[in-house]
Amino acid sequence: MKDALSFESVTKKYGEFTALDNVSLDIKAGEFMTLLGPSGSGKTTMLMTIGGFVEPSAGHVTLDGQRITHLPPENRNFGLVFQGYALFPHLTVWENVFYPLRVRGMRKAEAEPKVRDVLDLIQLSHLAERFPKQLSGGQQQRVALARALVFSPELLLLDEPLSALDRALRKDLQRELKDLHERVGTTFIYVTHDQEEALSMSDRIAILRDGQIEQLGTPSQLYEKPSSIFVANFLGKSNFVPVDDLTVEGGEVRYSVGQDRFRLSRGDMSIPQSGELSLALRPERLTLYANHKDAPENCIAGKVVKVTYFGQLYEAIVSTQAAGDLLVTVDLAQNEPRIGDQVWLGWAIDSGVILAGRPVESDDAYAG
Amino acid sequence: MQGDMAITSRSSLLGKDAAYWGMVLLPAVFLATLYLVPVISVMVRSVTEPTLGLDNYAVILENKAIQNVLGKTVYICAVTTALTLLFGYATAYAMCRMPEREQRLMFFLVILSFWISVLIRTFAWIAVLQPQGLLNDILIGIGIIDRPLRLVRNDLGVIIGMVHYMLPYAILPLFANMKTIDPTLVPAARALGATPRKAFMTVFLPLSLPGLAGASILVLIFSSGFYITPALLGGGKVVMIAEYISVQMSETLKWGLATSLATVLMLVVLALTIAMSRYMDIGDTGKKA
Repeated sequence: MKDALSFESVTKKYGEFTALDNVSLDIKAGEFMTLLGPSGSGKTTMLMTIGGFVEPSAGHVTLDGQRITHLPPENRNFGLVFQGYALFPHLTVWENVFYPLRVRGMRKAEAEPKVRDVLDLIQLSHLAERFPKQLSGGQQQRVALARALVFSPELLLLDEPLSALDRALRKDLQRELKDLHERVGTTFIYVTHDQEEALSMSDRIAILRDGQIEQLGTPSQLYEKPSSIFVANFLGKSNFVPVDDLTVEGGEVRYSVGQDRFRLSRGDMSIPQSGELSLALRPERLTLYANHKDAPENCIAGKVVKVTYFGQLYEAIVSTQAAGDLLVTVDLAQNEPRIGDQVWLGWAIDSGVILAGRPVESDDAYAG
Repeated sequence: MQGDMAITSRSSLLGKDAAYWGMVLLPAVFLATLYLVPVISVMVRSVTEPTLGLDNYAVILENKAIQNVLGKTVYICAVTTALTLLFGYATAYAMCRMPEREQRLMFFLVILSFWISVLIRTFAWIAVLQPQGLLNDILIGIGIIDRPLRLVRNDLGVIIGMVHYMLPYAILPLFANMKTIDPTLVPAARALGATPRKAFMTVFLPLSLPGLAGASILVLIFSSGFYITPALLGGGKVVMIAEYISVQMSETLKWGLATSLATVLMLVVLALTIAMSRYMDIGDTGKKA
């Protein structure tokens, strides 16, 4: 697949503050690329640089190999959906969707079939004569999408488009957006701080932190093989266990936590070997066993100290001697864990990732 | 039980209403006696003095001098309103785009002019604009002109003074309205393919119309009643309706004519207010709650 849009060592400074720090990224034609990060990480600056509203201090943005770094927004032919939708309140739904065609010099009669088509696509043809304030949040969102798609843009840029909606509606619209992406085939560049949204919709995710790309990959790559404690913490929940000693022997890693020794099959992971190390273990990769003989080779003894019921699963906190408190999810097919149970926590030898550093207190996924 | 509760809540509601009516009662009495009564008496006098009938209004329609004064008033008011809106719009627009701190400073500067009385300001303008005044001295000094420009004791002087006085009255409602326009709308228009000019014309300008209507009505009404500024900066050559009425009242003692002119002025202002108020309340300007 060819690259649609590329960042070439883009830096953006606002006075002393560096919003983007030497960022390079290639976005493929037709892909759903998500820029994910906490607020202030540079994701919106990145999107606005693509949109033409922010001029980089250094570096270039290219589209199909052409430099567009200094091209004004109106000459880029990109659709942009703002966080608050930015629908024109003095225009009807129809006129809002017609707007991009109108500024391109198209007459109403000429534009009518195009506007119809895209309103049909989002199933809002029956509300064409309404004004934006007469629509629900979800409907406004869909009008904003229609307006950004009607002129067949080369890219669709979306700036946290679902953040103003309630949870149930957000789920529906996530599915609709994903579906829309498949149908129109346009490259989507999506900015969000919601990790769940990013995981469920994206082809690839770039995780941003302090103006740099911390990790780039498919959702499962990022979730299963995070390259840093920051990523492991930002995507989903994770336990971090301090690793005391570590040796690599071919395809196998041996590590110890306190007195206990464990094994990890290395796969294609790069293992940091110096400095402080942590083992990142997802709660769903841990299994509770009543007896030691049932538990796998990697296991650790502990006591259940807290159980929370979530409908589709339980979350239990198990206190261990060597590894501290560990969060574990227990599905309903297993026995309900009870506070005070003496248990064994086991994990497979291909579970867990060795990462450099130790989590800082506030990064603790399940604390607080 | 339920019925009792309903009655209690209703009576307390009525009690609250009564309290609110009480609050507006005093100002209502004040306005009725000191404002409405004189206005009605002006209207009555216009058809009773010196004799019962519409003679005074016939004079207004026939008298050449009065028509000149009315024409001058309309002309000065129209030019003043147009210039005030133009400068006021530009200032308010710039203020909207300033950072919070600068915005507050600008706001203060706009309000500041309210502190200086119109009389002092008018004399200050004479000092600045007269043939041996500050502006002409500077212009001659740097060699742009070699003879003083006639900047005062004419229409130009009156308009300069009036625009200066009216600017805050245009800036404040325009600024208040522009602050309610969602700041992402213009960038959205740009992203959809509009040039900055087109984005302004198709999005920002239509959404600022309520503010523009409000400002224009305020400026137009105020300027139609201007008295001191045209009298001083016009140097007796620019007579507007308010000054003419005053002369009829205090010098020629034609109260009937004065009151009928005042009535005409009032009705014109009322008609303008009703006409413009249609544009003032188009409601939502897109700002999120």
